[in-house]
Amino acid sequence: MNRSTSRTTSASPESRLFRAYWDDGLLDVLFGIGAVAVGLLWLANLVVFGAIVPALLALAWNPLRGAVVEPRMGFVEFSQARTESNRRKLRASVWLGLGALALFVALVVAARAGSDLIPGDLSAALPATLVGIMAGLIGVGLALARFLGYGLAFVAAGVVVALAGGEPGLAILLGGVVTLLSGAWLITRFLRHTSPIDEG
Amino acid sequence: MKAEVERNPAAVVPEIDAFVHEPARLRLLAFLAMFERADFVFLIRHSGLSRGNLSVQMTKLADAGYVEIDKRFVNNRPRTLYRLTDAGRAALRAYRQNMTTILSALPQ
Repeated sequence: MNRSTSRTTSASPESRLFRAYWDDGLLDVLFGIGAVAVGLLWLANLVVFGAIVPALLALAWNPLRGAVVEPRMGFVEFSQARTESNRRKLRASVWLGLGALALFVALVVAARAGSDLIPGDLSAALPATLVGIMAGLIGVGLALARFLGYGLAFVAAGVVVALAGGEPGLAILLGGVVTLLSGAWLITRFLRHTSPIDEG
Repeated sequence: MKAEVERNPAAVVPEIDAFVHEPARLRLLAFLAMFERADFVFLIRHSGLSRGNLSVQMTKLADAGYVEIDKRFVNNRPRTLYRLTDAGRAALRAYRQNMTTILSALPQ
C-alpha cells in the first residue's frame, strides 16, 4: 500500500494494466513511422535530417495520445514504484543492448578480417541493428513482447540487405514497414472496438 | 485473557470498516491505490462500475477525505481526475490488516 514499496510484479493487476496501456498500437505506429522516415531519408541521401525524426515523434506523442487514446481509455498516471521499476529495467536493458551491439560489431570486424564465422560484410546491417536494439529496449522496458519481435525484424532486415549488398537505409525502411503495419493493425482494431466515453 | 476479550473484543476479531468494505468503494480504492492519479474514463473502462455508481461512490470517498477530486478541461473536454489521499491509503492499509487477521482465523 505504501507508495514507495508497492510491488509491480508481472502478475499483479497493476502490471496487467500497465501492459494493456500500450495495447492501442499508437507507440508501434509512431515507432514505425519514425523508422520508415529515417529509412527514406537515408535512401534519399538526407540521413542527417533523420536526427530530428525522434524529436518530432516525441512531440507528437502527447497530443496524439490525448486525441486518440485518452477519450477512449482514459488517463492514468502510474505509481512511483512503477516509474522506479521501469528505470531499473531500462538500465538493465541498456547494458543488454550495448552487449548485443558489441557482439554484432565483433562479428562485423571478424567478417571483415576474413573470418569464416559469418559470410560477407555485415557492416551495412549496423544501423538497422541499432534501431532493432532500440525496439528491443522498448520491449524489455515496457514488457511488450511484440517490440522484441520488431527488434528481430530490424536485425533480420539488416542482415538480409547487407548480404544482398543493399543500402543500410533500405533495411531500416523494411523493419519500419513491418512495425508500421503491425501498429496500423493494432490501432485499427483499437479504434473499431473502443468507443470514446464522454464524461458529461 | 477472558476479561481482556470481554473488554476489547476487537483485539481478537478486529472490526471491519464498513465504509471501505462496500464492494464498489473497495474496488475504486484498490484501483486508486495502484496509481498516482486516474481519470473518470479510465475508471469507467476498468472498474466495471456504471457512471452513476462511480460518481456517487467517488463523492462519498471524497467527503470522507479518502479521495481528492480535480475537475478540469483538456482539449475542450471535461476531465475528472481522482487521487487517493494519505488518509485513504491509511484506511485501506488498516482494512487490509484487519481482513488478513479475520481471514487467517477462519477454519480451512
